[in-house]
Amino acid sequence: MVLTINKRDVKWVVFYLCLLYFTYLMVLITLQYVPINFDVAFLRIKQEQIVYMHYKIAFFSHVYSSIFVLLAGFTQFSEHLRKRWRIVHRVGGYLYLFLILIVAAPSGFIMGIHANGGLSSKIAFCILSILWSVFTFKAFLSALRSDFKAHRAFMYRSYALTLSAITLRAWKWLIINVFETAPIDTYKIVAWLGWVLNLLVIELYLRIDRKG
Amino acid sequence: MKFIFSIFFSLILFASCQEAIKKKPVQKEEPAVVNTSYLYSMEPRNVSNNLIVKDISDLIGYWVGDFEPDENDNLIKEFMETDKSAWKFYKKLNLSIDSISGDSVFGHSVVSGTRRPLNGNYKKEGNSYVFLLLEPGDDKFDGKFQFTINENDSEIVGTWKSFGKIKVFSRTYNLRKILFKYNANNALESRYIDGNKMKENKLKYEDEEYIEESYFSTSELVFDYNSSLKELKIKDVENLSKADIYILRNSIYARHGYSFKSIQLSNYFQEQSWYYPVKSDIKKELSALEKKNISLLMRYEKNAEEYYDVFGR
Repeated sequence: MVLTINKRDVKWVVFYLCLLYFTYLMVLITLQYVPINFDVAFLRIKQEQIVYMHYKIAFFSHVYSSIFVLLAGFTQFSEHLRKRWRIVHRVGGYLYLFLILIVAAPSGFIMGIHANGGLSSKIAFCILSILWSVFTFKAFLSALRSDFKAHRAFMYRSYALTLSAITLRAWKWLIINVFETAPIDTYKIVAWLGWVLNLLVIELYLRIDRKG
Repeated sequence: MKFIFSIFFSLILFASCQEAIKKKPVQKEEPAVVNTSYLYSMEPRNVSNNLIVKDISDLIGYWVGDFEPDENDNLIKEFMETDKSAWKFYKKLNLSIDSISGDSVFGHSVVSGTRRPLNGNYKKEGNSYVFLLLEPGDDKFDGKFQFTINENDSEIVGTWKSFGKIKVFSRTYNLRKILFKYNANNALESRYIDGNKMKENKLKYEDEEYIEESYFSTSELVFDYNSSLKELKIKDVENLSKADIYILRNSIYARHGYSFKSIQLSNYFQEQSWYYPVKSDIKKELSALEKKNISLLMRYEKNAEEYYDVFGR
């Protein structure tokens, strides 16, 4: 059997490897909150917020659903999979749509209102959850009317924001290990940096892709 | 086929990222009750204000000073001059004389956070008071104190010899009496600077564990708060560096005269003019405000320790 590896394959292998690694880390993070514990990890410094029932619900629904939203990246971008097993793409797509619109984005918005780091961070997370919802919904609408070019573009945007869960933490890690900045100051930076850059990159890519 | 390759490579990556999202928390130094029996919690009774000994009763109280390795002995001298960890053997002693009845003396010693009871006697030779006090002997580092102080003098001069075979088996000391008083207003005067810059350094020497918690250095912000006077809020604490939080918490113990086990902390607080390492257990003496602050600071300290510079939370 002859094995030929071309440039496109390499790009996808790299993408999946990175996604696999970071998804694994996100799984580890999620598992810290299983079973439900109001005084663990991040919640240890949200003690003033976790007393509220609405925050309890928002936090745990967000943490429990987001990992599955992230996993969509493994199935939905594969052209091969979409052509061979359409049903997987459909089901995966609907799962992605509903988990975001009904669970992850609204809960993210509620958490955003209570975010650490003052008004700036609160605004950042709330805008993030709104854009996330809008892009995901528009992607759905485009698919309904079979405008797959728009569907792909909006899903790229939507997933770029989904990936902010990873990029936010990666930036935090980088900034602190290089600059040793104070914790909340860092948080204020990554609240924006974690997703705005993702959007800019994907918009750039979409424009180049359109021309090419 | 290509997919199989991806899975294979990823499995290799998996093996290496166990603690990528969280750091293991270190054993925290907290003043703890070592023994609960009456004898072990004695403190000096009826301490006179005289720092000069006019009468035997003036000897009751805390006598503090350096507890130096005896370099008159060649073995010890050589060890102190050549061993890389020799600096850890410079300690401070609080020789507390708690009560004297007849010629019987009861007291305790406090060295690096360890408290040992003392029992013995004294006699008056001329105008000198000569003491012999013994530690129980069931601890590897127990020994005997022999010292004298002259009438109308203010300094105790003496030696200590261990019962067992340890590296530094003989020490000398010159002690002065101090009238220790807790004062919540005592403020930090210098910055804590960690020379090692190591995250955690656990050393074993003669089965005695030195747990050094290294938290880099404090910032200017550490001078803005007195953790014994003002109730700290989340807004005060959440943006502080690890070292700031660490020192703010330990400064509460320091104000109560806690003798730190950690050498880094011990050295740091000795730079503060008001600090005396005289007690090994101050938990019962903490004020309600201090307990609140300790609880909050511990929460943020653990958080900083586990999650500050890692990927996850």
